[in-house]
Amino acid sequence: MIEKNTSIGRLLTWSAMAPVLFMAFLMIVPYYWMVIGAFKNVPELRKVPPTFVVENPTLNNFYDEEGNTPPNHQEGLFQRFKDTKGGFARIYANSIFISVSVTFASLLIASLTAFVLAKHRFPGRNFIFIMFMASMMVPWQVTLIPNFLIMRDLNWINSFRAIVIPASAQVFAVFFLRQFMLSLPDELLDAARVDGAGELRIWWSIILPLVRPALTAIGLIIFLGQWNNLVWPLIVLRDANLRTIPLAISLINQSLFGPTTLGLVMAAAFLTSIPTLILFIVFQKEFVRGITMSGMKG
Amino acid sequence: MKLTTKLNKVSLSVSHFSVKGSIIAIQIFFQTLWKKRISYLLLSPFLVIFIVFGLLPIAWSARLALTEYRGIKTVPPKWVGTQNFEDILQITIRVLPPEIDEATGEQVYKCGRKKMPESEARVLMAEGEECEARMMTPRDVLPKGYSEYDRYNFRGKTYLVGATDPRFWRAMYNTVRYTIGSVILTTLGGLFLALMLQKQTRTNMVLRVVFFLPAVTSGIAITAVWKWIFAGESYGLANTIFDMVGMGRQDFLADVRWTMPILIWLALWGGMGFPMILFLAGLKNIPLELYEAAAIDGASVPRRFRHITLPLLRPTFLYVVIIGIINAFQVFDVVYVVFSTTQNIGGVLDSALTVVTYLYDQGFNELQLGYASSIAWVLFGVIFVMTVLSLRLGRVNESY
Amino acid sequence: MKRKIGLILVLAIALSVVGISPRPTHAQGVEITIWMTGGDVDAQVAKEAAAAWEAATGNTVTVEAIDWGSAHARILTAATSGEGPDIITGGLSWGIEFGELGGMIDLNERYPEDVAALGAADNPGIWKSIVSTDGAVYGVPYDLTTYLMFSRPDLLEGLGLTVPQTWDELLAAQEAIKAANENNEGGVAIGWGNTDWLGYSNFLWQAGGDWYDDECNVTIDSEEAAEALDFYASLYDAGVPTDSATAIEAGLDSGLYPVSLQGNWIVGGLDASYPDMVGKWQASPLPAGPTGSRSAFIGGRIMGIMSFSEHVDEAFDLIKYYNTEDAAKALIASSTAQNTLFIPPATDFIQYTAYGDNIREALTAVLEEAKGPPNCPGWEAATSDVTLQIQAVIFEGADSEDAVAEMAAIMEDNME
Repeated sequence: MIEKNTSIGRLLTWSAMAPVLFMAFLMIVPYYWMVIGAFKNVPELRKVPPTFVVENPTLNNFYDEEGNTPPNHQEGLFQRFKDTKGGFARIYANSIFISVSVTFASLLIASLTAFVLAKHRFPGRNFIFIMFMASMMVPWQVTLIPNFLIMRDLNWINSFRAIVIPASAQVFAVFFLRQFMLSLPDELLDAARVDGAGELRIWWSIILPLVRPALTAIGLIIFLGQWNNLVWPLIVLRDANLRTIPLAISLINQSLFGPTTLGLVMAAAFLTSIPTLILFIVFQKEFVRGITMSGMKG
Repeated sequence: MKLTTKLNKVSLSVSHFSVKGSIIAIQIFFQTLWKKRISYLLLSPFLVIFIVFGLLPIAWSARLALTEYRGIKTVPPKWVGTQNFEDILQITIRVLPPEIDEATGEQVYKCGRKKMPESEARVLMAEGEECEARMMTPRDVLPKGYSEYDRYNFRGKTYLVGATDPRFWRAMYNTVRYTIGSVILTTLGGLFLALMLQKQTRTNMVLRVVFFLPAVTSGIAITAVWKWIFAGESYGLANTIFDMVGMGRQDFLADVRWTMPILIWLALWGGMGFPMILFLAGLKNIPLELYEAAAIDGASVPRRFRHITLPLLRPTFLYVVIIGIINAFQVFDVVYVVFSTTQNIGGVLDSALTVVTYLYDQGFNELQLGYASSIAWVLFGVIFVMTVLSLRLGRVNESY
Repeated sequence: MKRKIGLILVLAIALSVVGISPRPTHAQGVEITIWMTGGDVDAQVAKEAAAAWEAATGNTVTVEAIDWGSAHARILTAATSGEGPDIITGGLSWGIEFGELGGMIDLNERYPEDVAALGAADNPGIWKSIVSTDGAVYGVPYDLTTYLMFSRPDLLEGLGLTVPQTWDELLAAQEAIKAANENNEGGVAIGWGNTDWLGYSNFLWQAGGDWYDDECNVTIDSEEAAEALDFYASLYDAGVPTDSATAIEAGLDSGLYPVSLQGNWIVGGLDASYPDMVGKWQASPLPAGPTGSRSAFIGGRIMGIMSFSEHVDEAFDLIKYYNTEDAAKALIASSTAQNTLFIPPATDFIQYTAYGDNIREALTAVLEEAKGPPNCPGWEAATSDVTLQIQAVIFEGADSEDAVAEMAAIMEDNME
């Protein structure tokens, strides 16, 4: 698979590249559709057949100066959510705060746990592992009410704690990081132990730098999971000032095909994908390096 | 793993010394626990959170599964034992006999709105009218509490499958279909992409980013864009394109035939990037010398792929498939965003109803929280068995 | 030293997370919290309209928007935990669903005279659907929505058609429009409740059938119900699209669907979305069935008080306020400013609705015969299975008489 010297091989590669390119094209279609949707005005959004390039680009979906003069104008995204102090900007900030906290907290805890599970041998290890795995098989919907009652008893309703603390124990992340750590040579750790390094130190200054690419990958996924989390924040954050983006979108999206909200939804979706996109592009190199340098062991 | 077996050996060998031996074994056990205290200490932050917010609610839902609980504070859960599970799972097969006209003893036919014996219907059918042979009503054949799930014709007889909860079986059927389709396709798709893009060229780097993009940016917002794309008539992009190439418009979101392809397509779209990354990592781990040696031995490219690449990628395969199974069985968001309407959570004819959407419907719309919990535990059982099976099938060494 | 860094970081994050918990500010007087099911605009409208009540009583009103999709789950958590808002709004059946389990206050028991007055003022169809079979009222209507037939008389005229007045004309219009289209497409579109029990209810009632009688005996296994179902299915056979997401408005504009049966909510955005269509479309009641009935389904929202509320009297006073003439005018004004048609449940206040005489007249006509969802026990639990039966007829050509018989059996099973 590595070297293809025959012309048949080259032909095969190129003919196989065609479906890859086609698939790549299909991957980005919704992004393109969303971005142009965010900058179309209401009549253009509702046009049949739809336009493939924006004919009359507008920022009105974000902010419309004449928003209070219906029917031809409506309030833009940043003019909505009057019950939230600071409107959509506040909502955006809430989401960023929650997602960043969850990502860092869960990366720290999960990497520590994965380190112990991958590199320590102790009684109960398999049992813990099986419990982790089994817990992933129970749909979260069914633990919603019990979890909510726990939050009420802890008095965490209407507090970001209710989201950040439970979410900082991510079984999936432990799983993923453990797979990477398994491939790290034990000799490295033993050498450090001989030098008198404690386990925390080994985790922090040997393991973490080595699995940084894996941390980046799983960090992005945790971030995204939290960024898109709808139901749990909706249940535990009742105060309008604590709203997160998915909730805001579902509030405007009461009817995607309804009156005139499509542009607002696309604008919100556009703004929502920006941070994940930036994160991804920034860390993309790290990512690729991770794949080339370290690997995974089954 | 190794340690526990060592311990077992120790306790086995000392067990000959009876009581004294057991005491020693217990002592050794606690000594190991104490020696390993640092491990437990380091695990504790995760374990505490996991137990309080993970295991405790799960245990709670296990108890709820044995109750009837409507979720209102004033009505406490009522213990019903395994009743919920019986209601979910009971299934029966009966022969569905034809409906017989009492006067003539012939099968009843229905032409338009009129019912008549077969002989009369034949006359009308000869004149070109459309008539249909009638079977008995499923309810008359099935035991009380059962209703029709499906019927099959086999050797001239009609067999009726009845269930106490046909919607659950519909949901399970859809979910299994979805899981098989999406897991196989995302795994193979990921592998294909990894093989195609493993060379470190500039184009490949860009393509990797493109394929991984949905994995890190998908979500409710962008799924809603898909809903718009698949919208009816040429309002949606998909139909516009179908129109352009002359394939005729489709009711993508309200046509049973399209439901599963769309669900699986969305799974592929959002789910291929992750396996691709894992396979790329796995491929990098395969020592180049292996290929070189094989090439010198004159092994062809497909042979090298079969005998070197595939076996060495097995752990990655296993990981991808198991995570895929666990996730696919619990599919919810996509169905909820794309197919659910306020009136009907599972789309047209429940064709998009999955187990988790069904349990969500039962729990939060019908307020049957006990029943919903039971469904979750049935699902848990299925996922568990599937995972163990995959592990058995693909087990290579001590790792999971 | 470095080994400490990790611990410190963990601690710092834990602390920073624990430290953040917003303290709600309490104002003077009583604070009434409403959970408004709908969009942020609905919450804004309710809040603006409450200004007069706040000024008069010194109480404050907090309106929090919750979206339709998760509203039921969120109200459930309030009911389960005994903590939440004073007032909830939600679907017409929600009062009965939560109320009969003890989650909401029976307003009829507590304020019989006020509730009787509200009942007398409101549209009889909607009122009937919110009263429990034992007479309890857990929530009173806040607003309503109903079906209208939207059409383009100018386009129909070009095809030699008029706006359909009967079932036959509706089916004929479907066939004629489709036949005249170069791709053999288009015709009549159905939006709200497409292919489900809700869309079918219109035809059921127009044919003279009903789900239950006044004593809640199941009456769906009837000749009329089967006839209605046959007709309903024949519309789809003739080419009415089954996709519920069909862009009805776009179809009206382009002429692909010059006739559509849809919820009144599209009125608000039509002129803004399709400037070229202004003045060319009209709304009218649904076509009449064989009995001459033009009945249609009414949906809407109820407002009820959670049983754990500590300010029941104030909350009920607010609900009463929302049903006054002044409040209706305020709600309509705020909604219109947001491109939304607000329809108050009280018959006398329909005259204040915005968007012109045509809409007002059509609404008045529809609401004369319109009905809400059944209020009978077990109905909510039966709807999914009932819809499956209807769809079996539409999509799979199942027998309509068998389908209505099975629906009746399902509804009776769920009554227990």
